[in-house]
Amino acid sequence: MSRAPLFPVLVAVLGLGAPTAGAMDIDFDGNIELEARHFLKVGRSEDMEQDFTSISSELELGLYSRSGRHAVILKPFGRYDQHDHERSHMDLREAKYRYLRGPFELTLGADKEFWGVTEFLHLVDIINQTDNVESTDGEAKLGQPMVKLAYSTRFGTLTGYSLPFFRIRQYADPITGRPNYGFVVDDNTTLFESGEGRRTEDYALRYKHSIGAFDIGLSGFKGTAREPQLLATGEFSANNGLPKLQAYHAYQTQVGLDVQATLGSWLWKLEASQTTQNRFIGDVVTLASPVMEIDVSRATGGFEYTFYNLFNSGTDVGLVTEYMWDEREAKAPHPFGNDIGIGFRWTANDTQSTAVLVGGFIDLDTKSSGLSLEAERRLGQSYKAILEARFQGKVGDNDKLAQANVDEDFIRLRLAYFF
Amino acid sequence: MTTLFKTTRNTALALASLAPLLLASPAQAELPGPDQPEARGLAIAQKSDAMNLGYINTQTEMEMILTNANGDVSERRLGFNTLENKNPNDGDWSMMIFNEPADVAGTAMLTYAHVLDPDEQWMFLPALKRVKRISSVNKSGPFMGSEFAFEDFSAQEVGKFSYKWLRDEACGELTCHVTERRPLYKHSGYTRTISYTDTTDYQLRKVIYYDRKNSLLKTLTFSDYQLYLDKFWRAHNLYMENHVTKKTTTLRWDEYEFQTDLDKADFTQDSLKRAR
Repeated sequence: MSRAPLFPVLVAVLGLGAPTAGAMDIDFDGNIELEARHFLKVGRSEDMEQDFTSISSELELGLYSRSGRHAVILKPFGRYDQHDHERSHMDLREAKYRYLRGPFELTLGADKEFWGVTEFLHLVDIINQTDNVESTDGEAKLGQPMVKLAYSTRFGTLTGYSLPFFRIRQYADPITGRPNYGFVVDDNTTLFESGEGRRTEDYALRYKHSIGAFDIGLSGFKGTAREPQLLATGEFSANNGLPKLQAYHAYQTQVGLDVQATLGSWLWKLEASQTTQNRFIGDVVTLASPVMEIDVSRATGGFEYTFYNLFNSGTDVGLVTEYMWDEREAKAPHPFGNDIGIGFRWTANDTQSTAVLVGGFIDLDTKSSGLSLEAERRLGQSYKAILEARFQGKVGDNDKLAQANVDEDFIRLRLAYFF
Repeated sequence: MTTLFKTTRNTALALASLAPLLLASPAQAELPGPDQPEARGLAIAQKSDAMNLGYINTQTEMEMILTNANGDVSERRLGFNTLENKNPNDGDWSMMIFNEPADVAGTAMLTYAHVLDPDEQWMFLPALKRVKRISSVNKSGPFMGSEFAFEDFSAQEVGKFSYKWLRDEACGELTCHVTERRPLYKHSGYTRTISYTDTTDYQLRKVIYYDRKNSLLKTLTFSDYQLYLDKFWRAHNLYMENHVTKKTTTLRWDEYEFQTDLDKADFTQDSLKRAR
C-alpha cells in the first residue's frame, strides 16, 4: 500500500465539503481484468509455476469543485494472483488533492509523474518506483507520495517536487514466482544508504518547454535511487537453493535531458542522464565490498516514423528505432549498455481500435536478442483483449542477464471490462 | 470559412486583399460577380468565416455514432473545447477529451492550429500519464475509426484552401453558393471538396469530398442549426456518408456554451493532463 499522507487528503475533503456541498462534480470509473500468464518452460524449481491466473482492478474516484480549482482524486489498484504472493498486491496509484490558482498547480498526496520522450527505455523518468511485479516492461509504476508545485509561464513550466516517502521495488514471489532470473530477493531485507530509510527527503526539479517543433525537458533529482543494487548475502533459499540477494538503494543525484523534434512524419528523440551514486564494486558484490562513488553517463535516442493511412486503407504503420547506451557498456548492471531496439506498430484505426506492436532488442556487444509482441482490440463497447508475449532470442556468450532470462519466455492474455 | 466545428479564424489576411468596403463590413459586402469565380469563392469563404468572429471560446460535448455496412453500431463520446486565437493570422486552439468508449476515457488531444505551417498536437495517454507530442501529418486517416478524417476535425482556416465558385442553386428551402475548395496544405486525402453554403446565414449545408484520385468519396450533411448569442450558428447534427465503404458516422452535438471562463491556461500540456 502507498504510504500517502492522509492528512492533506482529509483537509481537502473537509475543506471542500462544507462550503461547496452540492457544487461538486463526482466521477467514478474503473476496470476489472482477468489475466492468464503462461511460461513456455518449466521453472528453475518444482515450486515455480508455469501457469498463473490473476484478477485485478483499478478504480478512480474524482471529486471536482465546479470552479475547477479543487480536486480530490483516489485511484486504488489491486491484484490477486493465484500463485505469486508478491504479485498479489495493492497500491494507491493516486491519492491526491490538487489546487489550481492562475499559473500555479499544487499537488499533495500520491501521484504518478512521467518524464521523457523515448519508447524502449525511459532514462530520465525517475519520480515513481517501477511496479516490478505488475509487468516486465517497467511501464507500471507505484504511486509516489509528493508535494508538487508547478509554475507555468509562456517560457515553459517549472515543477518542484518534494518526495517524503520511498517505495521499494518488489520482486516476484521467491518460491512460486516467475519470471525468475536465478536468484531470489527478499524485500524484507532491503537496505538504504540514507539513514532515514523509507522516510526520505528526496527532491526533484523539472523544466519543460515547447518551442516550435521542439519539446525540451531538463530535470534534476537528489534522493534515493529507485533502482537498487542487488548484493550477494552468501545465503541460499531453503525452498529452491537459489542465491538470496539483498536490495540496496543508494543515495543518488541525477541530471537529465529529454528532447523531441517533431518534423513531419518523423519524431526524433533523445534522452540523456548523468547519475552519481555510491556503488559496491567487485565481481561478486556484498555489503562488505568496497564502495566507490561512480558517475555514469547514459543516453538513448532514435526516431519514430509513421506511414499514415497506408494505401488509403485507413491503417497506420509506424517504425521506431532507438539506440541505448551506457558508458559501462557490457559491464552495465542492466541489459541496455549498447543495444538497439526496433519496433513496428500497426494501428488499424478501426471501430475496435485494433493495434499490434512488435519489438526486438539486439545487444551489440554480446549479440543477444529479444522479441516482444503486444496486441489489443476492443470487444463490443466495454471490453478489451490484450495479448502480450516476450521471448529471449539468441543468448550471447558471457551475457549473464540473457542467460538468466532464457527459460522465462511467456505469454500473457488479459481481458478487461471497463466502466 | 464556415467550419465543421468553427475552430479557427483567419480573416485578416484574407480581408486585406479585398476592397476597403468589405473590410468595414464583411457580412454585408457584395460578392465579386460570377465572372470572377475564384474571387467569388474566396469571398464566400471569408464571409462565412467572418460570421464566427468574436466567439471567444466554446465548450461542448458530442456523441459519435458509427454504423457499418451491416448496420452494426458503435458509439463514442467526447468533450470539445475551443479558444479563438486573438492573432487573426494564426489558428485557434482546441482540446478534445475522450469519454467513451470507457477504455479510452481520459485520453485527450491538444491542438494549436496554424494556417499553412503544420499544426502542433499533443496527446495525453492516461494509463502512462504521459503527454506525447504527435505528428500532425496524419490528415487523411480516420478519426477514432469513424468516417471523419483528422483533417475534417482540424482547423478549416480560409488560408488553407483555394476556392472557385461554381454556381448558385437551391438547397432545401434555401439557396446555396456551390464552391469548389482545394487544400493548399500537405498530406490531404482530398483533391477537392464541393461545399454548399447558404446565401442567408452563410453556413455550410453540405460538403462532397473527392479522394486523391478525384473519385467521389463521401458526403457530409449539416442540420439542426441553432443560433447562439444572436450571432453564432452551430449545426448540431452532422451526417457523414462514405460512398465507397457504405459506412456512416453521425455527430450529435450537445448545447454549446459560449464565452465561458476558458482561457489560454486551459489549453496547455499541463491542462491536458487534467482534462476530463
